[in-house]
Amino acid sequence: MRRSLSVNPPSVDRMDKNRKIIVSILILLVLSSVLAIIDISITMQGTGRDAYRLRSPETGPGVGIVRVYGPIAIDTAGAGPFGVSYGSDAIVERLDELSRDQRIKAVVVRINSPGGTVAATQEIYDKIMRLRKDNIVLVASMGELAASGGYYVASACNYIMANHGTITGSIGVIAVSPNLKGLFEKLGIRMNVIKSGRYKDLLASYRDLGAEERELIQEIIDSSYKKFLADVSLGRNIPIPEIEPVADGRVMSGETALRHRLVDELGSYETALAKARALAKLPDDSPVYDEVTNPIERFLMSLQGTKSIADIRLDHHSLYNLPVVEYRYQP
Amino acid sequence: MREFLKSLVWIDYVYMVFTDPRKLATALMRESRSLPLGFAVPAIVSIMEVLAVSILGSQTAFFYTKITYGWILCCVLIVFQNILIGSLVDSAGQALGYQGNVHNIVNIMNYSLFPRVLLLPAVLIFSVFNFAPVFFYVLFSLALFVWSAAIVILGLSEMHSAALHRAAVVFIMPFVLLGGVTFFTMVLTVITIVGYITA
Repeated sequence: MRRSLSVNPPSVDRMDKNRKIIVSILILLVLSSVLAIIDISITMQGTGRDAYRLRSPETGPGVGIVRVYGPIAIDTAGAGPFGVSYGSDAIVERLDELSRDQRIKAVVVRINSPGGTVAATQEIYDKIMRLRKDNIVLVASMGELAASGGYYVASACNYIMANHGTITGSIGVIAVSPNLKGLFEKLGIRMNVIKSGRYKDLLASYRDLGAEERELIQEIIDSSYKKFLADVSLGRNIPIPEIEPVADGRVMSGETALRHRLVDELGSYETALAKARALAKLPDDSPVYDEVTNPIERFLMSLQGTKSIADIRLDHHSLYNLPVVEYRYQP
Repeated sequence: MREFLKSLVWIDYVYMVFTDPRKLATALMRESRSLPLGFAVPAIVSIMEVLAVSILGSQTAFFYTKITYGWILCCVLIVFQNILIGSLVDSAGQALGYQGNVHNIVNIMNYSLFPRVLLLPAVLIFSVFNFAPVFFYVLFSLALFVWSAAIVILGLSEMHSAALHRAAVVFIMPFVLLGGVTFFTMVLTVITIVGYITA
């Protein structure tokens, strides 16, 4: 800055003084910017004062969240323009993504499901077991309902946390098919069926189920039930004879399930998160990596009319009207 | 341009922004080299505003994106807004019988943004003491907008040798127009979105 000379007129001197003031203000502004950047950076790293911290930093080792909501099925129909997919494929994909993420030391599987198809449930179970073998801590957190296939999935986890009022259990297999023969006769509807084998229209709704056919279906049910028992026994590390007495399809509260050792502890989702952190030896404030947390993404999903998995299953059945064998609680 | 920067006249412009907007308008009209330098003001203001907003919001790694690229987007938007509003103010001035000079209007609008750099230190202080920083951010933003508007109105009054109330009308007319257009656009957008969702 130019030094004002004594020969300069008073107005020039004043201007020089004003310039010094403005330059000082500009320097202060630059300093405040630097201060702001440092402040933000420190807060982001979680080393700032607690009063500053608005949210836990989303970096470093933490807990991943997988949500198993609604009836379980492989069906992935309904994936929207934002790439949102549903069904067991999406759940397995999410588990796979978490297993590849080096930051994930524990996973909380949040379950609110009445169960679903046998194959879809087994796929999720197998994937969770693979993660368990990779030494990733898995904690199941049961919501309102984790029955049948929902419990099957939970049993694969290292630890199960249920709420006091969670409806769980329902260990069993079911296949339901309506018999509309009487109605068809009443309405005078007759089906033309051309089939390659006698059992090709097994469980058809327009006729009675024969004894041999019932045996065939029962065989599938029994096989699936044995697999269910074996997998629960493996996942929970409880001998099959100890599970069998309560594995008759009955549902039970979280408290009763705890008494029968079907769950490990009663607690909320938050308790499950804390347990996952403790089992994985993570600090209490370690980050949680949830699926869709971005509010804009959620808003866009709601705008595109994202369907729940229940709606998709309904569409599936109304399209094909297929009877399916399910690990499912049907009140 | 180098000589212009070395002469430190630009510091006088900053001084006049705070003390004498009429004198600033006269000085800007006299010096054509002040226009390119004037576009540095939206850039500085953008950086300051990004920092101010970042202090208040959730502090995530997205901050680094904002401070690296976000401020450029913010600057482009402010410059676009200045050119748009400047053009509309110029048109409004011509409609009221004044001589058009969009070059000078945009120039003074750029310099009038300078008080907004004070937003960051003000918000920073309230944020450090954790004393309603969001409230004061909004309050200061409004106050600084009024200050910027006052600078432009005084500048317009000087440029067109017009009475202050007529200069105020010239300045406010585009906002009334833009406000109306924005309102109807919003109404139509909401109707369309609701129609899309319920269809």
